[in-house]
Amino acid sequence: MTAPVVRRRRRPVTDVLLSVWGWLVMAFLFAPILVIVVYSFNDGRLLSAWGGFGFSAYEAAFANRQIVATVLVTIRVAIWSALLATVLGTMAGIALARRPGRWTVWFTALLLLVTVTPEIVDAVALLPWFVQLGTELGITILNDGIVRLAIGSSLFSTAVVAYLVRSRLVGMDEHLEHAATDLYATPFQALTRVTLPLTAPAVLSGFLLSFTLSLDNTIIAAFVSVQGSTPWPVYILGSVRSGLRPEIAAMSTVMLVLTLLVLVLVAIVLRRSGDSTAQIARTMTGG
Amino acid sequence: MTALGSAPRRAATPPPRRRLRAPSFLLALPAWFWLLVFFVAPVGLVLYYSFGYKPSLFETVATDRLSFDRYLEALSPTFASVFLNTLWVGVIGTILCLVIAMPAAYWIATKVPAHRRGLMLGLVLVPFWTNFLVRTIGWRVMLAPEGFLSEWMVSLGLGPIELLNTRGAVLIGVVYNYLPLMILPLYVAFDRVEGPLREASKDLGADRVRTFLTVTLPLARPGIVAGVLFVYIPLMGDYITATVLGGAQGTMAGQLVASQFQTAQNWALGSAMAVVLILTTVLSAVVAAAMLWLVTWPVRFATRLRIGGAS
Amino acid sequence: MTDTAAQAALHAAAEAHAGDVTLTGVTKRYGDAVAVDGLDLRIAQGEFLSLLGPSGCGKTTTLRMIAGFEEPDAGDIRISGASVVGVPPHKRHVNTVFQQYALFPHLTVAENVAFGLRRTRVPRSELGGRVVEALDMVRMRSFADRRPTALSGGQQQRIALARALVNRPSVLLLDEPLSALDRQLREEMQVELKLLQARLGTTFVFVTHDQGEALSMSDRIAVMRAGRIEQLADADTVYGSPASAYVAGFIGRQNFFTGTASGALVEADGVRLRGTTDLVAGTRVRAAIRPEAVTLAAGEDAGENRIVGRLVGISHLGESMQFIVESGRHSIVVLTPRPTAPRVEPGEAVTLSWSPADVAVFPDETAAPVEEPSA
Repeated sequence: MTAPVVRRRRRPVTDVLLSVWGWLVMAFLFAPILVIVVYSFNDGRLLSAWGGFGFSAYEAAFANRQIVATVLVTIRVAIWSALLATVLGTMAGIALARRPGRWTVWFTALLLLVTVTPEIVDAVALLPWFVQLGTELGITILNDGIVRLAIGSSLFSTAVVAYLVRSRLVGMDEHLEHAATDLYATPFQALTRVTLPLTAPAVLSGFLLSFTLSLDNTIIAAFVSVQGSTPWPVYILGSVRSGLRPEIAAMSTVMLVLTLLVLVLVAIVLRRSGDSTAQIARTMTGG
Repeated sequence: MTALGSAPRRAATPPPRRRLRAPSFLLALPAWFWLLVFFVAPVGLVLYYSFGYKPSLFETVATDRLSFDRYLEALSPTFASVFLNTLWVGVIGTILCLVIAMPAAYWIATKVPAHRRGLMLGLVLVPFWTNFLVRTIGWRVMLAPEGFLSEWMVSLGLGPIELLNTRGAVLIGVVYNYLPLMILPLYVAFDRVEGPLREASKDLGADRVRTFLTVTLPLARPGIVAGVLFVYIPLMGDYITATVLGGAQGTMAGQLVASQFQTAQNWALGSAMAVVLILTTVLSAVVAAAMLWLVTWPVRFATRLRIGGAS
Repeated sequence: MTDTAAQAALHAAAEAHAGDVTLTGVTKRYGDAVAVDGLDLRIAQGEFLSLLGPSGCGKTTTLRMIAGFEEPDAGDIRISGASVVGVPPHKRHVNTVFQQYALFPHLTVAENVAFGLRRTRVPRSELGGRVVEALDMVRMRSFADRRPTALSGGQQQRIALARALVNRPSVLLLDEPLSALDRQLREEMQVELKLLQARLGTTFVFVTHDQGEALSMSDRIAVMRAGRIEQLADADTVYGSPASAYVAGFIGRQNFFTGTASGALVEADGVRLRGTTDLVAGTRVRAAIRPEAVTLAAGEDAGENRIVGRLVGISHLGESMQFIVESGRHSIVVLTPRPTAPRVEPGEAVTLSWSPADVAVFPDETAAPVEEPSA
């Protein structure tokens, strides 16, 4: 009998190169974020000039009433905007998945248009529109900064939530709803007892995504915000022109940690509902 | 079984009440309304304004005379050069994103062990969900001539980094900002090209390079198209990256549009510029697709094999 | 007309390469789990060999090691005399028909078939002819310019076969290729595959968990269990003289009786079975009787190799009738050809009998599968 031969194919060069490249890309993606986190401990007066390690930026950020106010505005806007987008998007998504008809083509086209229109166009369009409706037609609620901001950031999110809910329901058998009606549920009961619970993970992740998207909303916010309700990103944009201070990095680090917690929550919810990694990625990007 | 199950039920309860069934699109109606009022109408208004003019120093727009004059103005040499620059940044930025993202996405989809792919995607997502402005500011800190990176370069004898406030810095910024949007659809696309298909290719005598070119890449095409559009469209409209990294020169069309609304208060011209921006984006994408189709025609012709009907 | 051309190609394929495969001490581990455990197997040129076993028995891993998708941790694999350990799949002269066919959805049927030929730089002038030959061989020529996604499962199956065979491999590997087809198509394809293999003379290594498939096509069957070969023999031997209770239970259906031997007699919960082999008294054994070896008659007449029970179910299986009889703790399946089936009603008392030659006795292994659930 021949002695057992132990030979193995070498790991190909291409594989090694690929993983080196992959890790380089990861480093590239994380570099500026790490820089911001590190520089949030900068004790100097200017962000980009290192003045020693310390926590003074955090103290200054929370002591600065303007910074705290803008962050609170942003969070309030994000909650309202996410609620709006989730309610509107979930209903639209269910309708798209379960009541398809000729209208779906038009509606899908509209959603697509909303997602591909550059944000700057939404922004410049909403500014005169709010002015028109608010001052000339006398719909005074539209003069409120929070309302304007929430509406502005709800548009894209509504489309995203509708996609999410639709793709989740399309992947699920409508027989479940049929089974419910076969078991004496009215169409309304089938909706609330079966369809909505089935959609719950998509609805929840849609809400959280809308929330984070709204936190990030800069362009539309820069145009529609009114005096007294400046959101956080617009405040940062202002200080890019007037001079960046370490407080910005400190508050951003706090916000980053909060956003990451929200994200981890999304991933956990999706995993609980049995989605695969690829599905989660698809869900998170709204694809 | 169904017959057995439904017969007693029909006797016990009244027949299904059809009239209570909601019209098909009722659930979508609020979203319809919302998007019509706050998206279609305002964008329509911008389209309308783009044919108007700025009547006086203190008014922003008038539409009692409609003309294409604002478009001519928007395409005048000074502004046209900005649109061309936007196109340059958009095209080069998208190509760079594709070139950088492709190997990375392929690596995550096929080489990283399955149980660690979720973590990798999470890592790709982290910057994606960090504030856009903040991560761009991170680059500003890194590229600053007095920053740490610059000092390292000097100590290595490579001289200080003088990228900030140039087109190069804007390019780095946009590639960075939109890279996750390219990696994710590419990952999904590569992930969908099942292992068995790649194995079949190798079984039939194709080495890894051949397999990638003849099987993986063609099958991932929809994902590549999606990724390119996900990156190209917002990139063309971006003005924050340019504002943070590109200095005061105003090199992107988005900045141009913003300044017409915010500083010049010329809504008519700003609207025309916004429309031109959209048209530039769409038309350039169409032209690129047509060119790609023409360029790859010889390859497709060479791999075609037609046998023709039954013997 | 094209038949002769195809025939010529087939002969050329048969002569082109010796196609014997030798596995020596082949071992494959995944972490702590041993998928294939010191496997020795010699597959002769032109043989139709089936690797049969339940999922997880190592049969697919063995196939993938021959194809080159997996490398053995220890041992040697030789194809046509030359060791292929360390040789990547695209350089091995074997081709695979995949379980889900793995047809390239972006290529037409003809382009799929041409894929391998293009990789080996078969000249363009020859390409079309070879593709047509292969498609003729599986009677799919008229589908040449369609996309595989537009075809039915059976058609896709044939294309996958043509795509592999067009390369004239020395060994063709088939990984459960029929499992996705419905029953009727599966049976047709079994016949077709066997005929094709006989004509080509190519070595076929066929992986399946379906004993019917293995029995109907193979020259030899390797019944695998936990990474080892439990029995390697022709279909008749594997069916008629299984080497273990495991093989007996896996191939065909069995009525198992666990009991204690004394000489040639097995005592199992009130049932007394007499076999043909003498055993040490007191040994725990499992006795097996095939359903078709049992004779069913109305009335009560107990004894050795006879038991009395109550008929609980009758099923019509087409050419034969199946009776389920309960006797004490035992539930016994009886298969009788339709013309000779007795006229009995459920609930009736019946007597089952069999001849000693049909009693197979194996040592009792707790790990052995219990009686297979109804087919």
